[in-house]
Amino acid sequence: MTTMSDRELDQQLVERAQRGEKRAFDLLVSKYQRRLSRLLSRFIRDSADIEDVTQEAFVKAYRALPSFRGESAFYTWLYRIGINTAKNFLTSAGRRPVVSAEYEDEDGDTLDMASQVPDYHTPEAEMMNQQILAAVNAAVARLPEELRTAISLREMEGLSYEEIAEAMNCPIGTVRSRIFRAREAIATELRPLLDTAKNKRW
Amino acid sequence: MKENLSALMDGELADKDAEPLIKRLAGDAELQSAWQEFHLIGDALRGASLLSVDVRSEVSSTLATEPTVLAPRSLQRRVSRPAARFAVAASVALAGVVGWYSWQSQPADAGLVAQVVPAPSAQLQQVADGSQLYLDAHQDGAVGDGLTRVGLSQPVAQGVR
Repeated sequence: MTTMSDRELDQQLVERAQRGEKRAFDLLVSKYQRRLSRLLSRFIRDSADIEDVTQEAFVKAYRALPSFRGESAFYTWLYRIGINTAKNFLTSAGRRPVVSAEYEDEDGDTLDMASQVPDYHTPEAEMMNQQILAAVNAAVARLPEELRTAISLREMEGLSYEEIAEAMNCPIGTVRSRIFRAREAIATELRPLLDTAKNKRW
Repeated sequence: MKENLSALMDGELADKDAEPLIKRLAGDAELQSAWQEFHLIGDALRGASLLSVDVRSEVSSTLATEPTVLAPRSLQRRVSRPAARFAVAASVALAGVVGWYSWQSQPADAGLVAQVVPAPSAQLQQVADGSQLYLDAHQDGAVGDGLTRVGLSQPVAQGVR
């Protein structure tokens, strides 16, 4: 039985979006927005700016989608667009990218901001992050042990279902169902918080 | 269905189940929120620091005002049968002419171009692919990507699948 890899899944979504299905692109936004902002936070300090640049990067990615051929993974392509969008933002905001030349590679394309990890987010965003994290951790702590183990091995350790089945000494089908039930349980506890956040936002 | 989605996100769903699920995902609000929540949970468990970021509605409302992007199918799709190859070659030539014509005469009407390009068969996908290279090489001029791409890509949407 061949299964669809993560990269193939992204490629399928990209192809659907390329054929005009905008909803497929929304799913990619949903999946990658936090990872992209995390990358951008390495060189943009303010969390509202990070969110704006994240948004702009996705719009640019959508416009550039016809030129994406799947030669690289979607997310590496997206990250590149994100980095360029951040550079433009910093330049136009008159803030020379805090990168000095020594951090750039030969083609001047890498922004390695590791040296100045800002973590300088606005209090509201920071509070929301903390709340989400606390809710997820609390929900995980309340899970029955076999669900907690399964979801942890999957999400934190990145193990495949087969590896988890071996580690937990149970059939793959059981692993699959435990991971799903763990996600459902956590999502149920998270939902009220996310709904509140949405209402505040709008 | 949600359990399948969970497995899909982990790269553990069989291809034959994955395809219909992805198709269904596009129109199913409940599956879409599960998708969002499950990814958020994964990011939280991996210790991502920017969990509060949510630009979904901003991006999709911006995109709603954008022209829909349409791109040729990926280049990897090959045509195997000789007859099909011939058909493709012929169609590429035709599409090339049409593309060239539209580039030359600059009709600002994508719909017209779309009509001129016939959509007789699934092989037309290949037309879009092949001719795209040709067009890419020839569209420094006034008519932007938009026109030629839309025109030639149109039939793809109606192709196989």
